[in-house]
Amino acid sequence: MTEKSQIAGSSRPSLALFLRRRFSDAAVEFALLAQATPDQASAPYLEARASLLAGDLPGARASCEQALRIAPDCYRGQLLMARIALATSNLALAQSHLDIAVKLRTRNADLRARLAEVMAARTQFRPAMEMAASALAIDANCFAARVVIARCQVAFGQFGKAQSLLSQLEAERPGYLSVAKVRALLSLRINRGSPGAATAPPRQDAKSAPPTPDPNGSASAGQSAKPPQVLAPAPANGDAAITLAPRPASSDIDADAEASRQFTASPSLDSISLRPGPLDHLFIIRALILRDLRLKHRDNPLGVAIELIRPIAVVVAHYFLFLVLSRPMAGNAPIAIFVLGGFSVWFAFSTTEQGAASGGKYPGGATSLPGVTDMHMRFARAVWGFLLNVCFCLVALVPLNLYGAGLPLPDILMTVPIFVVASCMGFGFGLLAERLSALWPIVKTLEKLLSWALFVSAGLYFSLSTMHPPIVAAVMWYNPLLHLIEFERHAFDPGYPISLVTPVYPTIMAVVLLFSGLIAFKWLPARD
Amino acid sequence: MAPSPRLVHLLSVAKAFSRSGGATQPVLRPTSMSLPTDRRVAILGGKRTGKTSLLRLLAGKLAPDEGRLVTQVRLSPVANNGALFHPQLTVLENVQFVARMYRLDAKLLALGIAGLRDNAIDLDAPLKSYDSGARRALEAAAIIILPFDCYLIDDAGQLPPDLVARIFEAAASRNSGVIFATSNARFVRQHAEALIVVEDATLHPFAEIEEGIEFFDRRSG
Repeated sequence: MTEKSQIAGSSRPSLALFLRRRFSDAAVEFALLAQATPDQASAPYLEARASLLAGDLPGARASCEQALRIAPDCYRGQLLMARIALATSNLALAQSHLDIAVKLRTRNADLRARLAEVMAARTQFRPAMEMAASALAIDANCFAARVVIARCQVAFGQFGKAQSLLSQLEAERPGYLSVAKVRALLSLRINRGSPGAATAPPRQDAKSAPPTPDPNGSASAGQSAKPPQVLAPAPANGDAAITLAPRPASSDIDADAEASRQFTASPSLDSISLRPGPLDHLFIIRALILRDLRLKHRDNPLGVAIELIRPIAVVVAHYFLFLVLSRPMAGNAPIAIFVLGGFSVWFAFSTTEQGAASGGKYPGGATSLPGVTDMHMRFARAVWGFLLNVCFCLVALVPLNLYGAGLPLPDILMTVPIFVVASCMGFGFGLLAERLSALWPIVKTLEKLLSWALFVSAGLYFSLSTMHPPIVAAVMWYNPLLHLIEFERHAFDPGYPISLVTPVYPTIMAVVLLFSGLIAFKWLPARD
Repeated sequence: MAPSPRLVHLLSVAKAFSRSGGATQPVLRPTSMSLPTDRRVAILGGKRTGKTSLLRLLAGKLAPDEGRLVTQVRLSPVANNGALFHPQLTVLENVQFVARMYRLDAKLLALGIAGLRDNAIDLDAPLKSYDSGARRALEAAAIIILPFDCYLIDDAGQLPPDLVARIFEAAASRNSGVIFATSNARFVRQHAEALIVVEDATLHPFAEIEEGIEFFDRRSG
């Protein structure tokens, strides 16, 4: 369909109306003509033109579609359709029709530049760059294509190249609007540190290579649910609405050094992994602990030091309690050691238990981040409980000794394993209780009762060697925490009797509880 | 056989949520499909059709009831869905947390996020002082700053258009794809390269956008 044939196929009155710029009337006339000559594309084409100029965009689109159904290879029809699509901000439609037009006029550089413009407007910068380059291959002076290339260079963070190209374009056509727009965009990017492009340095790894076409991929575009469907690039056909061109290898795009410097300066930027390594886990735990502390104590003038207030207060209160009672201590151990050794181990157990049971309750978005799980949150709480109490136990008496108290300090090699066992026991117990209580709510009450029983029978207020009657001592023996507390007191004072306790029993209990807790955590459902 | 490096494979994946009264509401019927993660794929569907659930399944934040997902690509958290930052902390403290966790430079990270939001954020203000829209935009900006092979965005049409454009731009320059959910066909036309229509807990893939939108319009009446 040529312009001549279109005009020849139309009636003189309609054209006269059109030329007198009475577009609405002309559109009506052309519509009547189109009904009279349904096999000719010229009438609906002219109707579409008139409707577009009259501002009737839906009507223009319908007429143009009708013309293209009759003559799909109509170059001007494709261009008009693209124009209508652009007027309705339908960039995808405009792109598809310009794509067809380019195939119909393969040597038209301006058309390619226009298509590249639309691609760039759709932020398809790589295809836009390729299309603009193909326009320049036809016409090396194509201005619009060079503007698109400058726009793409800004998007890729190649600020230096964009700068020099824009300077050339401005020298050729001063005050050209699209050049001024790209210039403004470039200034904005440079001024704000180029977050978009600079944060996105092209990767140089194997993943950035163009995707290998899947042998089954071409069968993906349909609606049928034949498994497995692959929504892969559709086979290129002339009138494809979307052209899924394979992306070029990243190495083709050399980002400017200054643009990518900001974020590539961090060598571990690519270290975010869905499967964190052991070191990554440590950093996640550390970050979670610090965040928890900040959240808890950000408004407290004492800061993190407040965490020590509770254990200090409990130990001091019990010290004076035992002092007032004047009860003889087993092995003549100092009261301070008896109290400190007992309560620090108990606190290690109870804080890790609470961490395991409730550590993941309020993630505050942390578990949305890759590599961070609910278990990290629980573990972070438990680790903090362990660290706080073991450090408290090790150094609590140092200030007193500085003032000449002369109290013995604990054996580190004994103390640390005791706290590890107590913490493992607490962690496993917490996990197990939390998951079982999700299944049976009564377990929550039982857990509280059991915790209370453990507290009472843990030897915080007595020693197994001085316990009477023996039958009660025999029952108390089954509390694994009692063994750990007695050993911790022995770690302070080698004269403290430990003949009735054993390290094997609490260790076995810790292993059993930890494994049971982990298995329950893995397999039992969480509470809603 | 090793999975293709740029695809995420759904192998007979199904998901349903239990409703009150013991009934179950399927959000995804058993589906086998491979999604490209190096281009812009739209998930189009009406309200409560399971778009978000699909994204959360892809992100690994929801476990499928049946089947499994196989992929080698790093998919981002779902932007514009749920909290990423702690509301009690300031923006800077949240950024420091992320930076500390991934061993990044917190200052650069904060600069990048602030730049993406046109420096219109107060880094020292608690996150709870932001309205929900601003907070979601901020969190989306934080996600796009981090390097992933494919970004997942829920309800992308609700984000500020300039931010959406920058997200697509940043993803393209990183050679990454974007899988975004929306109920807006116009938004799909503007941004998508491929389309999945979610309808009645079933996924209908289309490489032809207009074809998919027509299908969506037909089904949604």
